[in-house]
Order: sequence, then C-alpha cells, then structure tokens
Amino acid sequence: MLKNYLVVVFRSLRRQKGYAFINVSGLAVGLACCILIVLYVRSERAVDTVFDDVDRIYRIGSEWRDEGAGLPITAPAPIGEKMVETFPEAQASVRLWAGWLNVRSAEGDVSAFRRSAYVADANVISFFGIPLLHGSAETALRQPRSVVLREDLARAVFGTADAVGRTLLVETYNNGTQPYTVTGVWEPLAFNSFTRFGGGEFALIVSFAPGDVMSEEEWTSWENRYLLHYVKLAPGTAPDAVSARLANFVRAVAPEEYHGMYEPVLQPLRTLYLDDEGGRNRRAVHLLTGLAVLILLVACINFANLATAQALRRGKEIGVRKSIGARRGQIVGQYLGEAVVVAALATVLGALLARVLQNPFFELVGKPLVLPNPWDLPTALTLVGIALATGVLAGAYPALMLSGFQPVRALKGTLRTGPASARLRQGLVVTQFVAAVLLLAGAAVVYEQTAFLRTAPLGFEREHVLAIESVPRDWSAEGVARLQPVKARLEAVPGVRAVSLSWETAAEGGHGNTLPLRRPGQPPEAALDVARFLVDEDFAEVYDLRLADGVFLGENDDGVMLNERAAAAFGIERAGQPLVLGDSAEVEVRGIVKDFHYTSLHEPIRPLVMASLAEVPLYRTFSLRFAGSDPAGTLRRVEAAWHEVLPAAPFDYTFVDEQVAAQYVTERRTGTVVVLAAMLAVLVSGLGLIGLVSISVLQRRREIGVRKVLGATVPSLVALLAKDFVVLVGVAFVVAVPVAWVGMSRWLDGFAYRIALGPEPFLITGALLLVIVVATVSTQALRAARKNPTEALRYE
Amino acid sequence: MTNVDITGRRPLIRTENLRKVYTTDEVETTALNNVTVDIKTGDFVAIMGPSGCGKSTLLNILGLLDQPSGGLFVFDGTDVSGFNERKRADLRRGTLGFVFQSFNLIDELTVYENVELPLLYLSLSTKERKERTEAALDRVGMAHRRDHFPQQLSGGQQQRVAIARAVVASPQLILADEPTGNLDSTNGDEVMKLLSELNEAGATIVMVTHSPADAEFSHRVINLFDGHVVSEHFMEKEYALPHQSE
Repeated sequence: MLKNYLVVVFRSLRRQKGYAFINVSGLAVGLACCILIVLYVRSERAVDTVFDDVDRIYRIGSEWRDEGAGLPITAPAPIGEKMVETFPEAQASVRLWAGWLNVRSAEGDVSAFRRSAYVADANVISFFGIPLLHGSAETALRQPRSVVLREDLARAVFGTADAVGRTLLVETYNNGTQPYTVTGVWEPLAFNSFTRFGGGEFALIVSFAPGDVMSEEEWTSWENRYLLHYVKLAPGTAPDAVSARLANFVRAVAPEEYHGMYEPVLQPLRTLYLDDEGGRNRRAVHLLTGLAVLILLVACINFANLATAQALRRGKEIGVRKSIGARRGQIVGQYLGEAVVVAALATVLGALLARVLQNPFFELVGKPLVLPNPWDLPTALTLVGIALATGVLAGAYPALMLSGFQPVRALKGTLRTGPASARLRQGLVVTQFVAAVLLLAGAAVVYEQTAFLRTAPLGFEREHVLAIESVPRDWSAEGVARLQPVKARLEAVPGVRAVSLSWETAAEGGHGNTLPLRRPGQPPEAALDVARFLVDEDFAEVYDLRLADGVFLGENDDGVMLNERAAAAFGIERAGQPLVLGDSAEVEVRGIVKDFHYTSLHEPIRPLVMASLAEVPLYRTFSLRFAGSDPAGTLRRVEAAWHEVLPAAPFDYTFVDEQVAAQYVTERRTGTVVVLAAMLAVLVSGLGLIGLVSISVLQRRREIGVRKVLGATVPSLVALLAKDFVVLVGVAFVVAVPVAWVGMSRWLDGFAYRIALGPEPFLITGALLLVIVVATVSTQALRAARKNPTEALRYE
Repeated sequence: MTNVDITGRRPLIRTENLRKVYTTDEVETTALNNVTVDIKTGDFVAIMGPSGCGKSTLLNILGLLDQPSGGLFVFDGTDVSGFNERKRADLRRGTLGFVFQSFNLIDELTVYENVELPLLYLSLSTKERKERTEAALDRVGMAHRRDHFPQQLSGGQQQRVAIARAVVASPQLILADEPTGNLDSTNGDEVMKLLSELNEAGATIVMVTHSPADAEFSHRVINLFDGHVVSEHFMEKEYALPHQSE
C-alpha cells in the first residue's frame, strides 16, 4: 500500500511539473534559509565550548552606582583573589589586562607587529584550558616576561609555530623595549571566544612583569578598576548562591569608598559573547530566529495552499479510493504521508542548497561558522524534524479537507470547496502576506536607520582623518616631548593639514577613562566621574570641533575643556570658571566645546572633559587631517615619513570614517539579512499566489466562460479575478502595519539617535506588494480570460 | 431465463420506503420518495428513468456511497441505513464493486495498479493480489495492456479495466452507473456482454442506464419517475419498454 501511495505521489509530481517545481522549490528555498539560520544560531551559541569548564566560569563584571565610575565588564584589581579567599565555592580566579603591544623578533628581522594582548596571571592557560600546541600550560607564564603566542603570530614573527624558547622584543609602556621569552603557542580559538575582546582578537598573552605595562600597585590596587576577572565555581554551584552574598562581600573586603556604590556581578562565560556590547549579538540571534520562523511559516502556508490546489484536482482519485472502501483515516494518512514525502524532498533540496550557500551566507553575516562539524547529528535531527513538522503542518489542511468529501461529490472530478474552507485559505493567504509586509516594512526601516547612522552629522569631521594607532609608548612628560619632532615631521608631509597626538580619536571615546570632577565647595562624594579625553592643542583643529565658549586648550595647558553636557551638569555657562579635580586640585575651564558623538549613536552624548597630555602623558594615537585631494598619495608619504623617523615602530592605521562605520557593522549586516529575507518571503509568497490564483481560476472556469458568453471583456475578467486577492493583501497590510510599527519602534529604541518612524516605509511596502500581486494575478487571470469560453463550458 | 425466486437465491438488498431529501438554504428537494426494492443474489437489475428522477441517487445509496434520509435499507440481512461513514467504508471494502460512466481510473496508476487497488485495501498477500489481478485482467481481455496508463487506452478499454477493478475482489454486488454512457455502440455492446457474462457467472449487478438496448441485458427493469418507483418489468416476458426521454 505504501508503495502504491509513493507511486501516486511521484507520478503526480511528474505529471504536474510546474506545480511540483513551485511547491518543492518554494519550500526548499524557505528551508535552506531556515537551515542556514539554525547553523548561524548554533554557531553564535557555541561559545567557548572548547573549554571544558565553560559552564563553571564567570566573568566578574561590575555594577557602578555612578555611570562612568567604571566599566560594566571590568572590576577592581583584587576582586578575584578576594572572592576565592571568601567563598569556598570559588575555586580559582584569573585576572587579565587587555590592550595593544608592539612586538618584534630579537633575531635580526625588524618587522614589528602591533597586536591585541593580555597581561595575565600565571594560571590563565590552565584556568581556561587553552589548547597549547607547544609549551606547558602549568609553567608557561610562571616567570615574569614570559609570553605565549597565538600560532599565526608565532609563524609571522619566527617563521615557525614551535617558537618556544625564542625571544620576543616587547615595547613596554614604561620600561622601554624588553626581551620576553616565548614559553607556549596556542591554537587560534573561535571568533566568539573570550579571547576576542573589544575590537581585536588576542594574539599574545604575557606574564605580569612589574613596571612594564603597569606597576605592581596598578596590578593589585583597589584603585585600578579596569582589569578583567574570571572566577571558576565548584561543580554544581548555583551562581545565584554566590551572587546573593556579593553586597556583603564588598563591605567585608573593599575600601569604604566602594561600599554602596559598587557591586560585582557574575556573568556566565557561556553567554558573554551574546550579552556583551549591550546584547547586540543576542538581539541579532533573536531577530534571525524570528526571520527564520516567518520564512518557514510563509513557505509552509505556501506549501499547504499549493498542495490543496493540487489535491483539488484529485477528487476523482479520492472518490475511487473511497468507493473501493478506503476509510477516512486512510485517505488522511495518504495525503499527510504525501505531504511529508514532498516536504522531505524539499528538505533534502533545501539542505543541499544551504550547503552550497553556507560560505556566502556566513560571509554575508560577517561571521565565520565556528561549529567544528556543522552537518552533524543535531543538524540532521533538526532537518528531519523540520521535514516532518512542515509535512504534517502543510499536509493537514488538504488531507482533512479532501478526506471529508462525500465520495459521490468527490467522484464528480474537480472539487469545489465550501465557504468555510475558502475562508481558511484566505486566512492563510492573509497570514502569508502579513509575514511579507512585516519583513518588507522591517527591511525598509532597518535600511533607513542604517543609512541614517552612516550619514548622521556627528559634531566632528570624520572624513579624511587618518588615525595612526601604533605610536611607540613612553608614558612620561619626556615621552610626549620626544614625539614632538615626529609630529612636526608628519605635519610637514604635503597633503597633511594638521596633526594631533591624543589617547583616542574623536569617534572612539568613552571607554572607561574618567575624571572625578566637582564644583568648588561641593563635598568629594558629590564628584561626578566624567569621561575623559587626553589631547594636545591641535585636536580641535584636526576634528573641526566647534567651540560654544572660550578657547581650546593651548600647549602645556593645565586647564580643561568641557562639552556642553558636562557644562550643563556642573551648571557652568561660561569659560574661565573653576572645577575641583580629584581631592583638591583646582582646574580652570578654558572653554566649552559643542557636543559631538564621541561614542556610537547607540548611546546618548554624555558629559565629557578634555585635558592636556601635558598634564597626563597617556597617548596612543596620532590623528592626521588630510587636505582631501589625493589621500592615497598622502598616505604613502605619511608612511614613508613614519618609517623615516620611527624605523622600529609598526605603521598601523585606520581612517576615522571607517572607525565610525565599524560601529554599525552589526546593523549593516542585520540590514542585509533582513532585506534578503524580505525578498525571499516575497518570492515565496508570490509563488504561492500563482498557485492560489490557479485554484481560483479552475474553480471559476465556468463563471468565466458564462461571463464571456454574456459579453465580458478580458480586462473586466482580470479585474474580477484580481479583486479578491487585492482585498486579501489589503487586509494583510492593515493587520501587519501596527505590528511592524510597534516592532520597529522597539528596535529603533535600541539607538539613542534614530530616525522618526514615518509612514514612508509602510507606504513603499504597500505599493510594492500591490504591484507584485496585481502582476502575478493578472498574468494568470489573463490566460484564463483569453480562453475560448466553450472550452470551459463543455466540461459541465 | 428462469423465473425469480429460484431456490438457492437469497435476498441481498431490501429497501422499504427509502427517502432521500436534499436541503439547501431554502429549498428542499426530494430525490427519492418511498422507494421499495428487493434484489436477490444473482440478479441483474437495470434502473431506468428520465434525468433527475433519482436513479443515480438510488444507486449511490445502494452502493453505500450516500446515506438515505429515511426508510429502511437492509443489505445482506443487516440494516445499514444508519451506518456512519466508517462502517459504510468497511462494508464497501471487498463487498461492492463500482463501474462508473466516466471510468474513474486513477491517471497516475497503470492498468495493473488500478485493478490491484481494491486488493491493497483488503491487505491481501502480494502473491494473492498478483493472482487475482491477473485473473481479472484476463477475464476482461486487458492482460496485454497491464503496464499502460489509462490515458493510453480507448474508452472501451478503460471501461473494461474499470470492470476488472470492480470484480477483482469478488464482490457480492456490482453497481454500474451508465457504464456505456461515454462509449460508442460497439464498445458499449462489448461492455454489456462482459457484464452479462459476469452475471451468468454469479455476480449480482445493479445498473443505472438511459439506454433501452443496455437494459435488454438485464433480468429486470425498475422505472423511476420523480423519485418514485413507477413500474417494474421482467425482461423475459418481453414487455414493451416505455419511451425514454434524454
């Protein structure tokens, strides 16, 4: 019997090639899309699974009462050790400092590399279980000035992965260039591992050497709030059991100033990647999951509609089977089985398609697929599940509807369905188009917002500004003085208009460097931690910052600049007024700069203070304003000048407009994916529409014939047939718009600066759908309307 | 031919005051009105009457494809008038064979597969299905076309395949609805001869027809008009047949 069913399925697919193609390919495309998204989601969630203890490791983050008092992801230096001392459940902790180091081989080759680096406690390798290709996890970082390299960096510097025992020259921040001994080499980890932090992926881990990058004091003092900490809890420990005791813990171990203003937070390593950066990655995962469900829904409905259209032609077969004695259950089983077989076929095709599209898709979303074997058992089971569920969902409606026909009616050939069933089908079409409207409107809004982010005025000039980030570090007044000739040399390069030395560029501030400031007369507790820029006197010129009042900082200036927010926060309206810095030092406000977006548009502009490098000699970046003409030539000349004055320093640079664009990479990728998903949904819905129109034409064949006999024109018939579908799309539009409006408003709320949600995206969506529907319906309807009426009438 | 009530024939179908009423929104149409018929095993009964008189409705009810609105319907000793769809489906299986005017072969199945279909629903062994299917095809002279699809056959050939399908499960009753309606006279004659042979071999046949010529092959003609049985004739008495309007 099964064979008989299968024979009928495949022969009828073969006979109705057009339907079979639309049906199977529509579902296959939808499924391929789903499969890719399932892989993406699994990949995003497969964070740090190479580490055996991933579920027991937590980052110790922080909650600060005052925003800006510290970062949410770092904590004071002693916190990990104290936690292990205090809580029996805390088995081990590790502390890391994250930054950039310039390194090169000590063996003659002078190529220098600027790489993301961790300074870490000696147990870091064994704590995480970082897989070492060479060297011993236990001993690697035990000695000061030891370094463990990522395999690719070892190869780049030493020409071999086995660099254990070789010497790496590290440009320290405070002790000049120092030799470090390579004690281990690790295999590169997945992109969403903890080894990625901020912008870069870590390429080396060095042991703590007092004074090199930071002093013993900074490495251990409560004053340093900018170290990363991880703690490992004993197996079976509920993190909440520890979290509940953390407020008391702070009171017991931390200096008094921390009481009540600071609390550590345990952040599971497993979800760090998804939750960091304001949960951007998690939002993307949710969005994509939603898209996958919508597309699958559209494809399923499509499939159900087409299967019904197809099945309606098979009334005779049902009648015959029933007259022979088939029970209703057997007919239902047959049609469900058929739907499952076709869905399975589509799933296989979809899987093949997904396999082919896998690499382009992951390139598109801008993330590598980190699953070691993506086509494994869970994926296979997901596929089988999808095939079964789709088959049953899509087959249930035609199966129940068709099996319910009286055999006598079924035997009459083409089945006509009652008003209830027609309503259900209309409901399905509406649902399908609701999904299409949601996706299209969503795509339009995402596109508009992304374009806004790319082009919104930021309050500073981002074009034609080069940022050289590999400035050799020597953080002292002498170090700053020694860079003056370099600055002069860069200023002399033709095409360079201005040069400024600073800690950050105008686009990338607010990363946790703060100054406690208050008005004179206020108590120290009233001090506000204000984000701090360290700049020289040319910063305003390079970035074209506008002044609201006063003048910009001069050379060796001991005053500060405020932005408008900060001035408002302190109630300062004019330049020349004093503020108290820290405990007692009084500084004068030289000027007030107009607010500019020193962080991405996800965040509002917060108070900002700018101080001179002459006062705090911490720098990282040369910013160079180009004249605008011939940037490529100017860049070449700048590089030549750089190597001329700083032969041992690497030349790493970005353009500031690229830095700005990089802040919206997630949105850009999301935008691309949503646009593609919307196009897919429209394509699949369009295919479904073709099927539905052909049912409608089939069922109204006689009506069309009669109308033609009575003198109806072809355009009037096309209008008659198209009208119903236009109404359905209209209903879908009305249902979907409020949902899309709410959804997209919430998405936009994730941005401090966003477009106003106007009617345009919805109007465009509506117009586009209308065109698609009218075009699809008209082509089908035209064919029916042009037929000779006797063809239709003689069947009756 | 001999008279009715020969010893050894038992009653197969008895209806008493059978009614069928179709109700739409506002109109009630009575298709069958107090129809009483008796059919015994081995009978070959033709039901005749003008279009819309209720012949097909009666045939569909006798074939358990439709339910009466009232009255008694006893099939092989059991009152089946109140049977639900599932029970009727079970009774149809292997007990009844249908021959339709438009053949109703399944286009996706070959001649052999079409004939085999009723046996699949009876869950017979492969071997038994093969023997019985081949025997049925031999009987209607279509064995040489077993691997053809219905579209590749002439109308007469298709109807012979349909008859093979109707008899393959050795049903107690064969119901034929205008079996020659879509055929030319030569093919129609052949199909009627085939039905006659089956009847002579013991099959009970109830046939709806417009054609007096086809009715000649039967033992007995029941005339319906407006949902009533208006007359019953036994063919061997050579009654003059009433004029049939098309």
